[in-house]
Amino acid sequence: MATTIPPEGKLPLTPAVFHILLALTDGEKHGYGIMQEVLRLTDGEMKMGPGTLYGSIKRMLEAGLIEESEERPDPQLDDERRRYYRITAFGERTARAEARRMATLLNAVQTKRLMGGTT
Amino acid sequence: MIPPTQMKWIARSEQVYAMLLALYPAPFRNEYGHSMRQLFRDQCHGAYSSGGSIGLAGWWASTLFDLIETVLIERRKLEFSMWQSRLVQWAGWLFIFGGIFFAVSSISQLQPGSHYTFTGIYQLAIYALVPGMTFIALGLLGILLRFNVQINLFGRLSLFTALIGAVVMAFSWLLTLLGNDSYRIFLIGWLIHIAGHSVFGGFATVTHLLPRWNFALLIGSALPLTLVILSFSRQQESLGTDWGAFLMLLLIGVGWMWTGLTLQNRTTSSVQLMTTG
Repeated sequence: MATTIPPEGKLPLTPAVFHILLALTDGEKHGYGIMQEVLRLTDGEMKMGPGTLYGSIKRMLEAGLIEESEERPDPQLDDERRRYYRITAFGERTARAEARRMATLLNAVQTKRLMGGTT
Repeated sequence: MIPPTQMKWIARSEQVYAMLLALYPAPFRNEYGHSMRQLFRDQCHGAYSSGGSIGLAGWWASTLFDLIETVLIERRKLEFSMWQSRLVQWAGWLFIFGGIFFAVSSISQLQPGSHYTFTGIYQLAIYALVPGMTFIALGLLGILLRFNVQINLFGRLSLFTALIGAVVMAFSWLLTLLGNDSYRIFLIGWLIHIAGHSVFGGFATVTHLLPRWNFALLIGSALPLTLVILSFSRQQESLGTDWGAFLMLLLIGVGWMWTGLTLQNRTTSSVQLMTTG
């Protein structure tokens, strides 16, 4: 299973995959819910189309980063059956590993004073 | 509240998007087409609510860009996956063909006189090593894909080593035949290949990796046997029939054919692509 692989083997994650993992850390969501959460987390900067979202979801399911939970209607939106996704334990470990990698990178950026300065 | 005229535009947009979904490969479309259409509709409503007609047009532009990009990605991935799947299914046949070419190449060692150059049928036989090693390299790639999940890092590394050795052998032997003296590189490739192959053969035997005849991989590799035969053939130098090298090439050929038959015995329907991980 993919979950036996160390999460570092999956790094670096693509921006879409990392944002989807972040969006799912506080509970399962359907496609539109993920997209709204990503928009909220990035102040509207990260806009994913349906192709990018479901292409990423497909690969994340294959990699064991997320799993599909039972389909159920969302009465807030409409009565159609939507597919919900949730993060797996492996997905959480991978997201943490990616966050650590990015923190190290950010630290290097700050050391080089690339942020906040003028060129 | 969206006016009815605009609702009509949103509905038409969804219809157009549903038609454009046909551009995705069928497996992807069947799995996610409905969800994508649903998401498109939700986002159309969101874009119109926040930006009116201009917002909707902007959403369409970015969606079209996303669609073109992801259609190309999904189609490329599907083709790659199909190519992988074929390689996994044909691994047995690749080994059988590789083994036949190896066995044919053994005839070259029966040439009387010097073995620095080969002539006539013996020259044709020595050429057979190039397709032989190429088939075996492709077959090794096939079993690497097939058993990727079942084997541990040690098994993967030995298999990968055998594969790299086979590729080096095929290229260097081709270069040697074309006039570039790459014989030393060929020998290095041979050693790398035989070492990886022997270790993987032992690993497959111990872990019962193959459907049956798990020792088949060892027949063609058997490092100690090969070394014994090599040392035996060295005593005869390069003059006259080299029975040692002949036997070695023949044994390797038989070993690969046996491995190929073992793999091919398993029905292709039971073969599963095990590339995820």
